[in-house]
Formats: sequence, structure tokens, C-alpha cells
Amino acid sequence: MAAPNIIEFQGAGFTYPSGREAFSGIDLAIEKGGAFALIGSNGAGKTTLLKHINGLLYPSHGRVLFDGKEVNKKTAPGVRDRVGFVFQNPDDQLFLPTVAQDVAFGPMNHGLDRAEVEKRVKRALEVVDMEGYEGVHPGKLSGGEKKRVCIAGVLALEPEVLVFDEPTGGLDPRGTRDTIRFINKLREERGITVVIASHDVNVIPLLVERVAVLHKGRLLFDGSVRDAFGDRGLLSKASMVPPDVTRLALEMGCCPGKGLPLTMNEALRYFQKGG
Amino acid sequence: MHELFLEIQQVASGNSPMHRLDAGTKLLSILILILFAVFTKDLFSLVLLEIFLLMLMAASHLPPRYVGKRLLFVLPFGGFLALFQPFIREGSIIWSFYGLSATYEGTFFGALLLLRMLVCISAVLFLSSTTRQEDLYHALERFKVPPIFISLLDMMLRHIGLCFESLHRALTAQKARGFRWRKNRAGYRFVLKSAGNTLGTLFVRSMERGERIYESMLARGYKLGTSYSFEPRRRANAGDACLLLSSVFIVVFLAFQDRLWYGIGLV
Ligand SMILES: Nc1ncnc2c1ncn2[C@@H]1O[C@H](COP(=O)(O)OP(=O)(O)O)[C@@H](O)[C@H]1O
Ligand SMILES: [Mg+2]
Repeated sequence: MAAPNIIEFQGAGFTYPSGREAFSGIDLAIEKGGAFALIGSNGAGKTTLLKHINGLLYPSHGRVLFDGKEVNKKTAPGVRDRVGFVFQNPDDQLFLPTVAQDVAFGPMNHGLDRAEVEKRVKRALEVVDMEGYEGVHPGKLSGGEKKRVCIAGVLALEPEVLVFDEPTGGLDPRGTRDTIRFINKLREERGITVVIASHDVNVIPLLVERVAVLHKGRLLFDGSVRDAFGDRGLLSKASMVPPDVTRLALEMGCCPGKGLPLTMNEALRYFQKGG
Repeated sequence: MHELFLEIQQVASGNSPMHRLDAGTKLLSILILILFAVFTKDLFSLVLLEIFLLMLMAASHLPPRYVGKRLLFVLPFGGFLALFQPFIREGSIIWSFYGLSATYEGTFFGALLLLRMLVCISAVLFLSSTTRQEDLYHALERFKVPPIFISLLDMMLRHIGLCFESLHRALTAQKARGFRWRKNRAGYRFVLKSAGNTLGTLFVRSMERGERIYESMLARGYKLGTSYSFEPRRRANAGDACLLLSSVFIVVFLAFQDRLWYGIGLV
């Protein structure tokens, strides 16, 4: 039996008060425990769509369900307790004077007692390898470190679902690698459902098996990451390109399908076998 | 301005005996002092009060330059107001100059005004330089201030910080492209126009950023009235009592001092 859906969009659409339509007619279901990425070029509507998951925005038409219940003004606070949202720009998330206080912000909002808050702060910082930074001002951290503190800040809520908006945006290769590692670790060790919005095609295959392609607010594709990146017509319609290694393999005559390499490791194996 | 604002936060997280006092006690003490300063009509009392506050600041190890710079801020605002008083108040003329005459009452009132402002600003400066924001919110919470007011205060302070930060960044980026405030090579109209545009953009950007921060707070379960500091509530100790009592004492003493001098035959 397939896992139940934790998030569902049913004919959902959203128009900003300015009159700008961000997306419309979206049907989408995300399974519990899965890893799912929403991909698309800048301005496709990814961020706007993510904000519907935990009721930071509500659809103008259609419905969004979380765990079978509609997300609306009444249910949103409860949903936010179960969904961790890591924003694109760490500076929008970190606003307290020390790392520990910022990580404690969520648990404090949950009304947990001091001992429990401290325990969670400690554990969350351990997961992202940031022990020892408790008293540091977030402004003094590097981009990758800030991102990790942001992740810790939502992990401290012990969420069932983690939403990442452009998780690797603006990070250097090492920061990117670490972030990928943490996300995968959380999913494997805790069974957290992971939802990602990204335009970084090179890291998407390292994080998820399933993608939906969004373009100008419309869903163009929903299926396996390999099918999406093997379809050049689809990608060019969405103003995207395949991952670098995939492009190289395609240029060298590799046929789309099961054998198409998407990551560096897959490409290595592919070329070692002699193409 | 940016630096002035950041500096307060830095100084406030210092560690002197005064910093360690309970925020609520400090708040109550300075309220008593300010209340007295606003109602007294005695210049000498105000001078004594200012000395008391300067002593408190010295005990907090506040850098003299830091204190001086901020107290000087009284001058452009308060000094201006005070300067006019001698000439617009009626009373006995003590000095006149081409039909412009200064009165004794006006001079006295001007001095009173200036001293009052100085005392009030010193009191607030003492509080804000020795107390972290969260501790202050905690104290307000204890004094049963409605959560909406505390949240408003918190948001306001945070957004002032953000505004300064964005302004600082915008100005740095402009400087990097050769912008000058004075002797701009494109002329004064250009300077005025860019200043206007910068302010406009700054406003919109801080608003957008504020909105994003608020969203990230909501996403982490922020609700109105959740508690601020996650550090334990400390019991009041002898130091707290000492500050509060000395504030009360000094106010009572100043309120009755003229009668006191009279009583012991000095006046
Ligand atoms: N606050 C807003 N008000 C009006 N329009 C917006 C707002 N935020 C985003 N948009 C518009 O909605 C569209 C989708 O934006 P967004 O969801 O941020 O895309 P993505 O995250 O895929 O880059 C864009 O055209 C953008 O200009
Ligand atoms: Mg986006």
C-alpha cells in the first residue's frame, strides 16, 4: 500500500493582491516520508507555492490539504507546528542576538519549559555540527553556517515535514555539500518528509527522486527526476537545462532512460563502463 | 546612525554590576527618577539627579565617549527650544538687546527644560545601555503590560535596526560607484534626487524584509504573547533592592531638601 499523502494541492491557484497570478490549476500530492522537489526557473512561482503548505498564504481558489485537513486560518497554527520551513535567505530567519536564542525561538513559541528548550537547542545544533556556537552572534557566521543555524532553528521544533526554499542558493561548494548531507541524514534517520523548491539542477538529483516542473505558474510535469531531466523538450519549455553531467552524457550520445546519469557518481560509473 | 544603534546593543550585553541587576528594578527606578524630574521646579535638584545618574553610568562601566555622544543629542532638539524661552516668556527683564529682551522667568524655564531633558535622556540611556532588550520585555511582561504593546515595541526596535542596516548597505554600494554627498560631480540636484530615491527604496525594502521576517516567525509558531527570554527568571537580590531604595531615597531627599536646609538653619 502506498504511503498516505501528507500534502495535497487540489486545483489550487493563487493571485497576489497586486493582481499578479503566481500559479493556478495545481494538482499535486506529496507522500509521507518522501522527498519531493519543485523545480523551475526564477519567477516560476515556487516560493509562493511553498508558502501555501504551512498557511503563510492561502489559495485564491482550490484547496490545500495537510494530513487530510484543509489549511486555513483556523488550522494554520497547528500545521505550522508540524512543518519546518527553511527560508531562502538566512538573514530573514536569524534575528535574535545569539545562535542559541534563535534556535530556541521556535520551541519557546511552543510553550515548552526551559529544560526541554535547552535540550532541543543542544540536539538541533548537534545535528548540523554547530555545537559550540551557542553564544555567537549570527551576523558573524559564514553563509553555510547561517544556513545550518536556520536548519537547526526549525529542527528544534521536531517537525514531520521540512520545507526548503532554495536550500543551496548562495552557498559555496562545501556549504552546498554539507546542506545536502544534512537534508539526506534527516530524511533517513528520522523519516522526515522533505519538500524542496530549487532551480539548482545539479543538486536536485542528490536530494530527491520525484520532481514537479513549474513554469509561469503552471505544472508542466510531475514524475521521476530521471524522466524530467531526460526530456530536453520539457526542460527547454520550462527555461531549464539538465544537470551538467547529464548534458555531457546526452551530448556524447547517451540515450534517455534508465541509464542516463544525473549525478557525478552516476556519470563516473557511466563513463568508466565506456559510455 | 547605524553604528550608534548597534553600539547600544553591544554595550547592553556587557557585564557590570549594573548590567546584572534585574531589568524590572531598573525600569521602576528610572521611572521614579523621570517622574520626579518632570514635576520638580528646582534646578539644583535636577543637577543632583543628573550627577546620580552619571554615577550609575560610571558604575556600569559605560565608555565616557559613548555617553557623551548621546547626551549631546539633547542640544539640537532641546537646546533650540530652551534657547528661545528667555525671549518669549513674560517677566522681569534682565537683559535687552535691540528691542529683544530676555526675562528672568524665561531663562529659568529654559534652563529647567534643558535639565529635565538631560535627566530623562540620561535615565533612559542608563536603562537601555545596561539592559538587554529581551530582559526588558520580560520585565514589562511581569508588570502586566499587554502583550500587544510589548510586541509592538519589539517589532519597532527590530525594524529600526533593519532600516539602518539596509540604509548602510545602500550607501556603501553607492559610495563604491563614486557617489559623494558633498561636491558631487553631477551637481546638487542629482544628490537630492538620489537621496530621495534611496529613501523611497529603503522604505519599500525594509517593509518587504520585515514581512519576510514576520513570515519566518509565524512559520516557527510565533503567536502574540509568547514569552520572550528563555533564560530563567532571577529572584530579586540585595543589589536590586539597593538601586530601588537609593532611587526612592534620592527623590524623597530632593523633594524635601529646601525644607531641610531651612530646618538646619543653612538658608
Ligand atoms: N509579494 C508579492 N507581490 C506580488 N507579486 C509577487 C510577490 N512575490 C512574488 N511575486 C510574483 O509572483 C511570481 C512568482 O514568484 P516566486 O514564487 O517568488 O517565484 P520563484 O520562487 O519560483 O522564483 C513572480 O512573477 C513574482 O514577481
Ligand atoms: Mg523563490
